[in-house]
Amino acid sequence: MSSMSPADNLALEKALAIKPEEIIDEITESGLRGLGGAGFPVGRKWRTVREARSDKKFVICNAEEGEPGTFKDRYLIENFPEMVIEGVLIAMHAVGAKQSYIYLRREYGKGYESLKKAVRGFPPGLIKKFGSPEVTLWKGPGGYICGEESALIESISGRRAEPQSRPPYPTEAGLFGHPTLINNVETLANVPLIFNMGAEKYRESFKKIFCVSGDVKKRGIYKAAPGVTLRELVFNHADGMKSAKRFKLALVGGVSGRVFSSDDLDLKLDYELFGNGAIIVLDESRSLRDTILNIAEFFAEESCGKCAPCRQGTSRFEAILKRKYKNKDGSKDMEVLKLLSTVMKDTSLCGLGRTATNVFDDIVKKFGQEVLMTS
Amino acid sequence: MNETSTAKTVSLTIDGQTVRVPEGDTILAAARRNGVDIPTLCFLEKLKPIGSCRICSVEVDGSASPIMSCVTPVVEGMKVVTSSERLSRYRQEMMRFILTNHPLDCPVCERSGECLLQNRTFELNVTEHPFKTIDYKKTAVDDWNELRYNRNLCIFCERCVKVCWEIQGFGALEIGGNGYNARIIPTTGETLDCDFCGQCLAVCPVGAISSAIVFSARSWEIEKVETICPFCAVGCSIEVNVKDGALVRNTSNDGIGVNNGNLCARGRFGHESVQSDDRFKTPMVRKGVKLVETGWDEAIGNVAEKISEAVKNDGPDSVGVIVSETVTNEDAYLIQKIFRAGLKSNRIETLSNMLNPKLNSGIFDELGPSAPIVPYDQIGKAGSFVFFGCDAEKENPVIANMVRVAMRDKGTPLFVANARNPLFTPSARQRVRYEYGTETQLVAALIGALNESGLPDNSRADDPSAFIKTAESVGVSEALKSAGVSEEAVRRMAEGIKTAGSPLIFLGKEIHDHPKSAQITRALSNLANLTGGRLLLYREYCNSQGANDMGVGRSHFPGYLRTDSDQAAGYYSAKWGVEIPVFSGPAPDTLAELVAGKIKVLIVVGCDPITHYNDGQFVREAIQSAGFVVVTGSYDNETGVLADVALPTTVAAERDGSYTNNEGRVQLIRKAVEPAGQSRPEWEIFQNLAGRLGMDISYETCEQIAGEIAEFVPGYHGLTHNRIAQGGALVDYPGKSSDVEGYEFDTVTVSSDGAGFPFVAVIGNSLFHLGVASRHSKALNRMAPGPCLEISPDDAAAAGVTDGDDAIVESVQGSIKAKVVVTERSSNGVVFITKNFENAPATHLIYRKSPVTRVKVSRAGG
Repeated sequence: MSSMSPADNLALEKALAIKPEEIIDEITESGLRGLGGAGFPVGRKWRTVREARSDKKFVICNAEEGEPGTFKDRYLIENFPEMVIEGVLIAMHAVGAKQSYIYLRREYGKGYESLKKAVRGFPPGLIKKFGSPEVTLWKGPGGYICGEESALIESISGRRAEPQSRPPYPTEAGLFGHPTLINNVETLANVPLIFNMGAEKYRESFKKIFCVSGDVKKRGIYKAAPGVTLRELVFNHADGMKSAKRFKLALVGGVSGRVFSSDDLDLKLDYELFGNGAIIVLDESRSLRDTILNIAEFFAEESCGKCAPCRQGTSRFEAILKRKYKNKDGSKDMEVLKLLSTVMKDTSLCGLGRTATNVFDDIVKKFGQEVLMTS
Repeated sequence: MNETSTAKTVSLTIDGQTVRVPEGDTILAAARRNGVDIPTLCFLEKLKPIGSCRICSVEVDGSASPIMSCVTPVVEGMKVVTSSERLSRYRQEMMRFILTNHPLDCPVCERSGECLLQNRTFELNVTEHPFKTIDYKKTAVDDWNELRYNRNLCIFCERCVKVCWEIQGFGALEIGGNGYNARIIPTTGETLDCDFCGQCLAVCPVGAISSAIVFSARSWEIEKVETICPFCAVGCSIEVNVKDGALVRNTSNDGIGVNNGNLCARGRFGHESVQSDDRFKTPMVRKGVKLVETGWDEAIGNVAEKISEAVKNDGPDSVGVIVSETVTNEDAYLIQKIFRAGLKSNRIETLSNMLNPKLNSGIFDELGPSAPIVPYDQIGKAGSFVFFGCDAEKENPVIANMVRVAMRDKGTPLFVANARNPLFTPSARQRVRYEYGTETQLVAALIGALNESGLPDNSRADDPSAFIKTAESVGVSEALKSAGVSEEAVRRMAEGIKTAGSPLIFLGKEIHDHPKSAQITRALSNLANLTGGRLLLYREYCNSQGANDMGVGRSHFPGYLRTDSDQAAGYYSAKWGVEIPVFSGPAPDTLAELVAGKIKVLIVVGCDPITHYNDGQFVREAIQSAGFVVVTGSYDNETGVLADVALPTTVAAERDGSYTNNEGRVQLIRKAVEPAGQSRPEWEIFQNLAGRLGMDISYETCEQIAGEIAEFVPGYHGLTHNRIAQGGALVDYPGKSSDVEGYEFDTVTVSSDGAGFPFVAVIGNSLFHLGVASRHSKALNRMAPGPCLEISPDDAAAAGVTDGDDAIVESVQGSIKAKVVVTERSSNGVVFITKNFENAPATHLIYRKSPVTRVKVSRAGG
């Protein structure tokens, strides 16, 4: 992690020396894209908020890292809190926000402490030069849905964390109805690097953080340039499979991500494929039906219950997998599961319901529905 | 600016048809505007789209998955298809999802037949579903005090949560738990402790929320009669639900009347009063010391005889009447006509006119075109709201709902100035608290600050000097000395009001009952006119406005023609075909006249002055001074105890007629159930009396009286029952075209000796009781069994009382027992006491000789 050295505030000084518009140009030039999973160009998002007309704007750093298999944000805020905060300050300066929130996952007690310490460690003179912006550390109430940005905004507003329909997007009407920039921790932690190195050098040397877990020898955080293959991550970085059992599949992007089978080991992982960088590896001893059930239970528990397809769909999904199939080979139930999956994907309000059955779909596609059918 | 011509539009195609709709329309709105129906379930026009049911999906070109039409705004060139095989399938799937956890208890569900889920299931042809219902833990129905919640029936549309927040501003409900285990829970603790407006009950599309008042009718057995709520002055449309002659509940309906389906606790749950066992049903006359039942003939004959005797012996002025502000326009008109044209007596009053004639019958004399009667549609057009001495959400709650909607949709800013600290949600942009009695200083300071920073362009004052005269003579700093408000706060508020423009200034009961009410109103009228704004005075009862309009007050004939004017007397002489005298003389005081023995026969129509008028003990003595007392009413009451003849009257649900509401809208009330016992509408009783007195006044029906009002009364021309049957009609008040005036007003502080009585008492209505009837609703009595004393935490500590205590509240005049509510709503030094309790009337604390009522508080039994 050599390139992620603790900040010496150089980036802040550099960012201060140029106009907000130029900061955004620099970010755009760097090619930085959202690293929370969506991959939206960061410069473009900042510009939208910058150009939004309002007497108040907000920046929110999304540290509600709820996706199973993801622990990069925790790693960053515990080890490099200054960089996260620098990123937040630069973002605030760039979009014209005076107030910001770092929305922290409830369980991240250590991260909270390290951020608190880091905030206090900034030289007051420098903060003053930034117009004394307000950075609030905000502990979320807990729950997967709080990572969904509109739900997160609701939660800060004092309401139940419930996703909202878009438009309006948070960049137009977000927190308390004002234009709001929301970026993931890793995205913001990359911002000081851009100013430390310059956009061009940064672009060339950019590395994404991958969280490799599951049945591998060395689970952990690994940095690699986009385009890295799953084979390299699993067999080089993580030192291969834990036991003699063979690789069966990996969930890339967590339990709402996509399924990579051994046929996919050499696919290049770029923004469209790596999602948030979570890689959960399963070996051949794992039951696919159990995997699906496990994920179904997770989503049935985490669905907020607002929209009918997700509330009913996730619990239906779980219930069908939990009981004995109606006919011997399970084909009737499989038809219902597929229908549920399609309807949830097409009609759910937010990403939770729309992606809850991704793994199911991929497993059916890549391994055949037979592997799920016998009860 | 002409809104329609400048509003931007968007063109799109819906099912192949090209349409042009206003920018900002959702796809659903655009479709409905063009006659295309898209099925919905959670959507409710008056709420922001919720998007929870996912039924209203449509196909949009360029989108792989369906789009929810209720939450998606149209964009130029959009191509929308509202029905397809996929959409039908998805809509059916959604219904199946929802039905999975909705047991088909329709045969025993009270919503059966008016259940939106039932209807959609039928319309979308959902005949089976493949999922086995998963039982929740067989939860019992949740007891929410006045409401019940059945989790098993709940379909999570979230309407209840949203309506409580967006319209009612309370936020008493939220979703607890996640996913399939989610349920609606109160935010107020174990159970609901809220306004009990029942908006959640009204918007629930299924039977998940029900009333604690057991409802045993099936929807198809019910006849719904549209009429007007008989409680406060808002004039909400209600539907009286009748089964086999029994009034089973009140409902309303979005889209009818002024209230868009919203009601308060009184309107929705006060209906038990109509067929209450407490109804007074048989005419009675005093024989010896006892009142005994009798027939109408004897009772009315008795009254006629006493009136004739009094007129003969002591002249027409020896007969007086105090008329309730809950009688209809027709009743009020007829009663005053019998007095003025028949008896030639002008001894006719309402309690409000006795207390404050300048803001009632005299309102146009006092303020002319600045009179504080404003159509409700101005609420949506106002640049800002100012609540001045007004507890908007407790006094006339449905007007507060309208304000909230404007704040939600238009972001209209709110400013609050009050001696107390009444809450309002959404929160005000700025609040200032003034010392009770310094209202005019504060207004002078606001006007002074406006003047110093430059008057706004939209000022209605051609020559502003008259408007700012007082303020200039006092000066901002000087004015603020006693008001206890900082100069900075006043400058900020003045600037805020100026920037937002056109304020709508609400005056509450605190101002109406204030010893300086007319001065404050004049001062605020200056402020309003300088800023292009208007005043809106909260009236108290369902026909307070109408009673004034109909000339129930000594100063004016119907239509605000002065009783001391030759011309007006001439006008009504001609119209009524009988010589009407010019009634002149000093401002009379009915109570003083009673005490002086000048009034020999007093008729009290439909009200209980002993409970409801200031200093009830004095009122009791005054009424006792009359030789003969006639009381009409629907229930026994304190004044009725003094009656020599007591006559039972119908309530609103038992008769036809009209009320004029707070905005000056005349609306029709309709008979829904048969009168209780022998009770009769007031007009019938007085018609009968007129006959017995040999007067040439004769009407066959209430509608006939309305016809005469529509012909004779200025402002009411053409407003026949037929004309007002649909949505009512606004009265055309006098003086609209004349120029507005600037007033001088005095800025003398109203104060009083506080020795031994540390708190100023403001006395007003709670959300649950108003007038005579509400105390006969069991539900409303459960919500508010007795008076409350709202007191600030500091004052409570000083008085040695804590929340929930019974306290003795004592003034020099009397004392009552009240339940202590320790709340920030009260500011230090000012307590609020709820009235309308005959067993503990807060009005008995008010003393007539001093302008401000002061009280002391101690723990009962302490």
